[in-house]
Amino acid sequence: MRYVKHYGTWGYILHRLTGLALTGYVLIHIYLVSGLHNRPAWDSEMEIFRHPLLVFLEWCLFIVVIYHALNGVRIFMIDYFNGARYHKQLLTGVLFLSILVFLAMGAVMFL
Amino acid sequence: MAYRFEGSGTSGTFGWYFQRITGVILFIQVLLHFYIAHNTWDAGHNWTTIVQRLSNPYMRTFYLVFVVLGLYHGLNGLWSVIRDYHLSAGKRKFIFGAILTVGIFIGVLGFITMLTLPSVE
Repeated sequence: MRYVKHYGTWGYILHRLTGLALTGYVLIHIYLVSGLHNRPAWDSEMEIFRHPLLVFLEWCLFIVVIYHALNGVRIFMIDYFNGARYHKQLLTGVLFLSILVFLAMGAVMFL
Repeated sequence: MAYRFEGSGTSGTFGWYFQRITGVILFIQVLLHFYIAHNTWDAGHNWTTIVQRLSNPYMRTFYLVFVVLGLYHGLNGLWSVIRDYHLSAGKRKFIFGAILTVGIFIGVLGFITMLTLPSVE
């Protein structure tokens, strides 16, 4: 598909990509959590997730989540609160807030 | 008309509306979940911590709702992306069936996981 890339289009593209990524993640996530029934296998599997790179990726997952969640609020405002009049400012707010909450989550996870 | 096989002219309204309703609920749920399950390494990975958490009936209800809404919202989103590509009716039916099958399979798996949890010794 071809897009005319205005500022808001990037919001739309990012919402799609993060949404598709999260859907894929959720499917795998629910599947893996079903492994709780086999404790020894679970314990050895989870040891893999102590690796710093995977802990970092776990944190990165949160930027995907928080962007999609906050931009979802932006979509809601565009639909119901006349947000189309200020959707660009909203997108700037969403991006700014996403990074802020992402850093805060990093503090929760690592400090 | 690309969508003449999919019912009346208002057939998409429910999907559009429900995507927003589930989105608002998921906004709260996903942030709570991420905080609960990631504030320490053990919270998200330690077997005992997780099973104990899911043994709480409120938590279990929270997660049962989360699985249903999350899967619905995610797969309905995927479906709406696919519809944008104007595929043929046959392909659309096949993909819709595949999405539905995967959704039901993973949803049932999630329910089984939480409703038949082993107990913490």
